[in-house]
Amino acid sequence: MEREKIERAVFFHGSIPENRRLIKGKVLCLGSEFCPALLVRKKDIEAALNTALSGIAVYTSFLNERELGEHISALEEILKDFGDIEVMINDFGLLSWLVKKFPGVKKGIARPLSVEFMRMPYRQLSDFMSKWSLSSIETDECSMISNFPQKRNFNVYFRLGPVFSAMSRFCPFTRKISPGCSFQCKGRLDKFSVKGSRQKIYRYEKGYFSACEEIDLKLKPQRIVEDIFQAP
Amino acid sequence: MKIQVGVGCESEFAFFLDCGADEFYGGISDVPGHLYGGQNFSDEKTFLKAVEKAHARNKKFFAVANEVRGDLFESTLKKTLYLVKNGADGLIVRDIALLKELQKQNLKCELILSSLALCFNSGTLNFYADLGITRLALPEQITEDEALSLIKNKRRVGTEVFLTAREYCVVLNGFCYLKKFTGECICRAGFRKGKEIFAMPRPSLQQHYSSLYAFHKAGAQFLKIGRHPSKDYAKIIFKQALAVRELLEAGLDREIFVRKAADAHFKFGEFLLKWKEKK
Repeated sequence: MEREKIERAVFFHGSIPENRRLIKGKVLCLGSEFCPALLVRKKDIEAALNTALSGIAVYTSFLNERELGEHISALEEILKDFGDIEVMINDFGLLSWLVKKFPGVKKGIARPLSVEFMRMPYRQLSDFMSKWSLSSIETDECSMISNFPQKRNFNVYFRLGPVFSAMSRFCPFTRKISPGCSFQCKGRLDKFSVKGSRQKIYRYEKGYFSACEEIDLKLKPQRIVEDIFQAP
Repeated sequence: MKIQVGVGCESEFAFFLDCGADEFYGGISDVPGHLYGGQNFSDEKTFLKAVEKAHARNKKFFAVANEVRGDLFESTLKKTLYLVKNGADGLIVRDIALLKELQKQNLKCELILSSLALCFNSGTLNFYADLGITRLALPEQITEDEALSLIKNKRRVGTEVFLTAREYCVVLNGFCYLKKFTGECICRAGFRKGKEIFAMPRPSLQQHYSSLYAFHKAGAQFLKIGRHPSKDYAKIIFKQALAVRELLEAGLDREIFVRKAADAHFKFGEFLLKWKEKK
């Protein structure tokens, strides 16, 4: 019996490395699940296409009114020329717009929203995913994948990287919610000690994480997304 | 502005009912709900007795079912339907699957979208309004600019706001797993990296009250007090909420309101300190 091939993806935080062999044959992930200021523009897609990619996935966070408007403008520009981009979402306002304006676009649920979705009962989750034309859900909790049957009507992506633990609305660098940063977070993964714990807490963008989990390939995720941090 | 109080048991409820709270909410121990400290009613019977007493004084009482637990889904659905059909004025929810099933039942009750949901724009509000929500508890971490379009929404969804000067999670509380580090909440702790100590940023006291002023002015209808581990603590916060409401309704300009609210905050802070010393 033919073994199902697991797709590989890389999420570069910071610059895309000059050594494009790291990306070859993989899905390139851009954007951010945690910070709306790290918005992907058309020029970022165009720059990424100079590589033998297997695809591009644009990640988005939950959004306020202004940010939703900005994301809609940016995605409209991207998707009219690059309709096979996958959009990973955290915002139902953005999802509603995508379904109306670009119904054929491939869409998935990213963290942190997927943390909630991974806990939904399979039947209801499956109905929701079908109704909203969502084809994937991404998790960093390997054990949660076993909540779903192996034959499921959506893909599960496993995020091989720091495990989501919390997120703040505040930028840890500007110490504000409002925009106007100089993208000091790009490519940074900071590690801190926590008093009373042997575990370290990791921070990138506006998210806080614990150490990466091991993956159990028997749970058959359709894609493994690996985080790579490289400061510009 | 009405004051809605979270309560964990009959005696606590009775106290706040006599003190003039306008609405109540509470959880039941086997219905998944977000509870940070505080307690739940032990069963539906006890809960519904409290609901009956609230109704006798023309007050509303809601049940909390705002955590997502697929393994408990069927029992949660059954219990929440039971509670509403037997008197609860509505539910505080977040789970889309639960909302969808409740919508099919055509219930005539309030469906309050929990502050734990990620509702920060009108597109998302519309999404949830299409699922039947009638009220929105604003996320604790929303700014006043962001909240305006939600409070003034066209879907006739009412809005509630927490007294965040007293109850504020530094991270998104609906998506917080920081307890995995030490078993306790650590979002206000400092984290060390070499000589650097990092503390998560949060709003100032003045920013909390300035936002509350704006929410009230924009039309938010309900001021929420969360459930607390200690009833005595909750009583002090409730009295503070009464004082803050009085200031909000006094027609003060923003700067004066913020100053007076901060003064009241420190005054009640002294009561809290005395209570802690007595414990």
